[in-house]
Amino acid sequence: MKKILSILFLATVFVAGASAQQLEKLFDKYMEDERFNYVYQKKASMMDRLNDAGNVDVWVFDKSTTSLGRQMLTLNSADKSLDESFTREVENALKADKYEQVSIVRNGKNRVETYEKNTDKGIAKVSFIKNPGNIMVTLNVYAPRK
Amino acid sequence: MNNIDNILNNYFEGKTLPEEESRLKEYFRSSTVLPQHEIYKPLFIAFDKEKQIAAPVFEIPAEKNRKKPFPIWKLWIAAASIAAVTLLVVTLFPHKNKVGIPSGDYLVFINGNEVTNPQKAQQYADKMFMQADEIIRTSYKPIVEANVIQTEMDADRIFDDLSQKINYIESVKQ
Repeated sequence: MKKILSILFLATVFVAGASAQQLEKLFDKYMEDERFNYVYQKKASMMDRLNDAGNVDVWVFDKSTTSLGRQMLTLNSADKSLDESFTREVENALKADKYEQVSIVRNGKNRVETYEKNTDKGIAKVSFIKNPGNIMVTLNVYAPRK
Repeated sequence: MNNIDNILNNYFEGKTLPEEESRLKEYFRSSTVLPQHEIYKPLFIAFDKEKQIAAPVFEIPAEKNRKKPFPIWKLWIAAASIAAVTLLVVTLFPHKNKVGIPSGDYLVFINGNEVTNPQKAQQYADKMFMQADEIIRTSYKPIVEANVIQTEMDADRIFDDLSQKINYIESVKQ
């Protein structure tokens, strides 16, 4: 009985650990794919983030926290089926990683979704931008607030 | 056009000669850019606008008095000290390239090709993140504006302002 319980516990831990990194796995999967562009920055400085964010409200770009790195994956493709399958993959990864949807902005055919979750490292924020023929996913990790 | 592809590959690996880079810039400025190269156009136009940073020139003052020759054993001690300090610095501090960007700080792949030049990788990364933030900023603009209107049209605040004005008028009358 003890053995079965141990195996079940280990399996649960493994499944939880595996699903916690689905989005990062997606970045790894497509970073070297010729249909995609991939950008990773180890640690965005405060100046970089202020320059990038401009005057947008704090709830969109929280400037009070320290960046632990950010990465971006973009797909520029006229192939509609590729667009759809990649979108599905991102949505499934976000669901598997238990991200909480923070906002959706839809303007015509353009759509911007933001997601957030607390991780061991800190707060992970995802922006998922979908335009016809152009899909962009960014993942920003910030240190937990003190 | 195969040649342009080769130069582009070399460019992202940081192996291009200045003449080849000029050729690329000229090509992307022209109206003959092929559809498969259109994706790189903004990148080269952006780089084109950048100013070249020139390293300051140091002038070494001419030696006035000729000194006595340095003893060889002192020279050996000096060389050994320099070597020891260099080794210590290299071991203790992470590698930084000539422009001061740690080599592992940026990782950029464009259509499956890694940009191995750290300076170019940084420029491209900054540009991409800026574009993404611009898209988000534009899309959230109506919400930000709505928040401003909501704050301005807050009934409590309007009534407070009005009552302050009435109190002021009454105090002036008395």
